[in-house]
Amino acid sequence: MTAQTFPASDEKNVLAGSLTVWFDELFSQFDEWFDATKQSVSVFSAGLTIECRSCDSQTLQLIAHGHREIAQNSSPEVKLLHVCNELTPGVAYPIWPFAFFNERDVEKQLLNGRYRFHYFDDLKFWQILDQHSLRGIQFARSPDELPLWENGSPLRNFINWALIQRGAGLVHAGTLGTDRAGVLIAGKGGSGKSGTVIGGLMNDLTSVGDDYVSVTCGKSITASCAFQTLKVDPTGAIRAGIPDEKTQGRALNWQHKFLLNLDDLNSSSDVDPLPIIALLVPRITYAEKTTFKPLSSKEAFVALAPSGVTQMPCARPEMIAHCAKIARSLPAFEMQLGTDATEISTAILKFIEGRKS
Amino acid sequence: MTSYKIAGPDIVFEEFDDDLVVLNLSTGQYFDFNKAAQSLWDVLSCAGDVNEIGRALKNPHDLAPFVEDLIRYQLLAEGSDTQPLSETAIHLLQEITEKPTVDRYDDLADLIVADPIHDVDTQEGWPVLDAKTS
Repeated sequence: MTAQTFPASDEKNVLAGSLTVWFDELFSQFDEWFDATKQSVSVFSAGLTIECRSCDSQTLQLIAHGHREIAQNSSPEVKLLHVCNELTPGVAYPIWPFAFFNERDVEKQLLNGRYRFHYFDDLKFWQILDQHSLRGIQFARSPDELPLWENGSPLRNFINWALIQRGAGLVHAGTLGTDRAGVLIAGKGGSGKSGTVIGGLMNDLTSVGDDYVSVTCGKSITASCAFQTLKVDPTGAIRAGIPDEKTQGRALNWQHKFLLNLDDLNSSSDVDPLPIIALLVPRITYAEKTTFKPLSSKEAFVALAPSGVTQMPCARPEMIAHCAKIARSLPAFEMQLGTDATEISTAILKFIEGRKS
Repeated sequence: MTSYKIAGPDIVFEEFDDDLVVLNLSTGQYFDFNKAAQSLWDVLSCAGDVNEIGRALKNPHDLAPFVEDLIRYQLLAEGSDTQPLSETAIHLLQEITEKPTVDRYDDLADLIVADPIHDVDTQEGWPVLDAKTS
């Protein structure tokens, strides 16, 4: 990759209001740059084979850690190029010409077009996907200047945008399951979602994700693992009974949580995609026993949609529609949580087995 | 002739059984429409002529306050392109017997409108909002 191959993106390119023209120009050279970049990592995520190439080995390592690494595939479904400015001297780094990035204006500009795009202005971090060819480019200034969420869920936007092309999408929900079926667990912050998932994992349930999972609505609803990572705060780790050796020596992330891997807890589901039979919305009630109360599909939608929709840029209409479809298709229940993690997990296991039989 | 249109791309809606849920992503509010309100929303949002809509309704006096509410909630805006009502639309309006109602909810507003990067509590992360924001 040479300096000359990159277009000198200047204010005029973007100010012309024609992001698409600039993206066309950028992607016309994608294959040449991709072929010229030799370091790569191949991963399997959310049912997609993804190859990411970059001169930045630190970021490639982070991507490999966040996903299931696979052998290089001759024809990956998604090709991504991570361009690190610091390690690619002379490359003209694109400049966003406005003081702020107005996500909704840009989304409007690109609506129904070929590209999806997000820009994180604090770090001048770019992500652009050509959704027709599933080729994407990510620009970062240095290996240490990735948005914090990329540690736990690397390439999240690209994965979501690629899934949308298949009629699927990421949802902001955890999962728990058995070797036959599972449930989605969604809810507002503080509702007990994370604690329920971690508690379940320590009590013989499995999971395909604790925070974001890929959900496909076909004849049935299935969830697939999008990220291998698992977040738990130190108190939650003790409460859930996670052995000390799993967390010792690990640094806390930006949310002051340990970033573990599903395999660390032997809790990665062997069943992927996992058939989903219900949506559970936890509520902390301090009751003696965990109970389940039916919710309407409208209530399920309101529990599932808002946080995912707001965290997934350049895809709001599709995310709303996707969450609505899930909410219409699945029976939903408010899960009034007991206080003991083992009791809660047993109740979820009985719930799954009861509905499956 | 007066007509209305959906106020913009921040207004999204989904139907669930007999309920319509409308989200205003710019204010973070969401709205629960009953069946009558849903029928009126369907016709109004397709630029139906308000006078014609009023004539088709059994209780035309319900229309003006309903439209006022939707404008106040920034769900509808005045349109410039008025469309004649179809037979289907007229039939839909004639079927309305109950008063159209819209329940407004603010409880997710912080979550919907907040910037998931800048507005979150740095200790807890999304979706716990920073005290300055909430």
